[in-house]
Amino acid sequence: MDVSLIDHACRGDPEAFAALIAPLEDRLYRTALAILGSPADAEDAWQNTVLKTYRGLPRLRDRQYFATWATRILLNECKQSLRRRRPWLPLNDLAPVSLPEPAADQVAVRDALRRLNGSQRMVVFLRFWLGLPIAEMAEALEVPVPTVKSRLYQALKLLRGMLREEEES
Amino acid sequence: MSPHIETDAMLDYLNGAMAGDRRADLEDHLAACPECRAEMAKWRQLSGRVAGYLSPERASEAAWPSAAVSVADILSRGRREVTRDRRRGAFGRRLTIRLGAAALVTLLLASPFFSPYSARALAKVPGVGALFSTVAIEKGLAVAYQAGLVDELDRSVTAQGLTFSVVGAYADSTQTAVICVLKGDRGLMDKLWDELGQAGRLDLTLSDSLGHVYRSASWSAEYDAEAGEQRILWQTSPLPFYVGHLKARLTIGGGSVSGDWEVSFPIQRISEEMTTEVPIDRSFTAADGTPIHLDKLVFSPSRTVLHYHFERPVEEEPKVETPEWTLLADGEPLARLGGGGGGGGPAGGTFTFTGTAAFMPTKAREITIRFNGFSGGYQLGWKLPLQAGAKATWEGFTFEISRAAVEDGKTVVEGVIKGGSMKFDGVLVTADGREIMGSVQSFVPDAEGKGGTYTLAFGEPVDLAGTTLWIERGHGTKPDSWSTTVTIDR
Repeated sequence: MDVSLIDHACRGDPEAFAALIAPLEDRLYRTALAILGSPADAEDAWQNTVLKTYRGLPRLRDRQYFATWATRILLNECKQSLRRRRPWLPLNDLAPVSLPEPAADQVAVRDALRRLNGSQRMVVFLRFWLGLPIAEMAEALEVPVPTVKSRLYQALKLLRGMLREEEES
Repeated sequence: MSPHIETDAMLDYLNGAMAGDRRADLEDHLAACPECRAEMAKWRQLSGRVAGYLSPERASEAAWPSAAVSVADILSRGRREVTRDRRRGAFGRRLTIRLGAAALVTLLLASPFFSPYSARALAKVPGVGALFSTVAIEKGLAVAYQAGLVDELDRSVTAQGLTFSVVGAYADSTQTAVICVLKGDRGLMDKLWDELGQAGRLDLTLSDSLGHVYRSASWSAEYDAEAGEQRILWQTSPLPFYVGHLKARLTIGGGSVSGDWEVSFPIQRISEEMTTEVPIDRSFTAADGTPIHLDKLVFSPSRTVLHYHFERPVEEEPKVETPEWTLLADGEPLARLGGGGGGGGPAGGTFTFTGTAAFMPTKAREITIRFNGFSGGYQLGWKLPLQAGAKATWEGFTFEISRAAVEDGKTVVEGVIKGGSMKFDGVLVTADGREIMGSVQSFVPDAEGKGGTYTLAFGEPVDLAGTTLWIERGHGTKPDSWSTTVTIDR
């Protein structure tokens, strides 16, 4: 991690900050897109993350954890965005761009992921895409470890059931 | 051999959540048990498939989109986070009447079973956040939306860089609601937003195939600056049964763009089984001898509407006052909704006013209608400079500013009110005539409960010296009480 870049960014240099967050940009935006399912909401979450990260940077104590910290802010934004949607909105209805185009053998996986709810998709993404261990997921989402585990395991059980159905048909 | 491994334990193991002795025991069992090994392999395979689809390498492929706005742009223009600005417009006429004695009557009425939830339900509820947030401006409509009754549409027309779309429609026996979106580049949207608040600049009308024109009773708009979208919730009275299609016409006169944008869209009234009409046909007499008649209650999935009318002798200028109603559903007050109002006209020496009052939808069995007296029309607004000590008083009510400041990109006004409640609207008017809506951020009642300390917040910074605060407030209610209870057989 380029410490001098962080120092510059902390002093309010927007170009230094942009250079700092640039490597994370695609991953974070696409995480938001995959979790929230809508480009407009992902754009909102991403922009709020940029602003909050920029403003909060001087208060970041362990500067080498910038990436993890920015990720946590983005996940919080996604959580808030999900909370604003009332429970009866079917989060299964993803916009087509929200997940990568699957190879032929992966269509079933994509479709199965679409049928999870927002909280479940989030833990699946954190685990299999960002590759976070469970303890870090709990910290990033600010929920207890047992909650993360139960969401993740429930999601995996559902995915397994759905993919088995698809195979049998 | 130890018993087979539970699924959760397997998942703990696979996801790095198992350590020490537990882990060793599990591995020992695995070594000896082919069934558990096979099961473990299936879980590994599942993880593999999911990870294969979501792997970071795939994330860099062209198939994935990137954020549309660069970080530099966000920082340079996004000084405040994405918020939703709102404006409201409301038109209505009010009339006077005075009320009198108290009487309590109970009615028993039979009515068919009323269920506001249809089989259309969640399958058709759109997942678009924008539609819901616009619909949710009116809580009764949000209930109908929850029941899957609001139709999602996508009819649009573009001209002069402005796209006008109808994205949602709802029609029941108590109201018609249409949700529209205006979209264009940022500069145009900003200008249009200012113009939206100016009377006569922007008009939205609906017409049907027989040429009948429907005008709005009320509209609300929100501006999502970052998305470059203005969403308008437009409401009017119920449609006649024969209407199948409507044309929405947006007319903009002068200003940044001008012209007409027109879209046609289908609309269907929800089925008649979902509405219940309960005739009341009861009257009581006001203190000045004016009779008030309660005509009926109409229950729809989006509101409960009380219909009433009254007559008074014609005077030179009828005062602008409205009857204040409270509706209790099984003893709990129903929130009042915007909409309602009414109209009237003179005929043979008396003035007849027909009015409606709208409340949240309900399935309650017992409705108590309470008349609380008349409220005066709106006092014209006071304009106060934004400085400590600025004060307005009227008939025992005092509004005072103790502090006005610009903080964090917002304008904050704090002060004290006495002899009243926070039931008023506050608007900042800038030197160039722009209006900025605000909201009550907090209100701490004082010890006697006859006033308190308030904080108003407005979404933008202003030049304090050149801006005034406009306060509008209704007259107090002259208390009265008359009520009747309707029991509905559900």
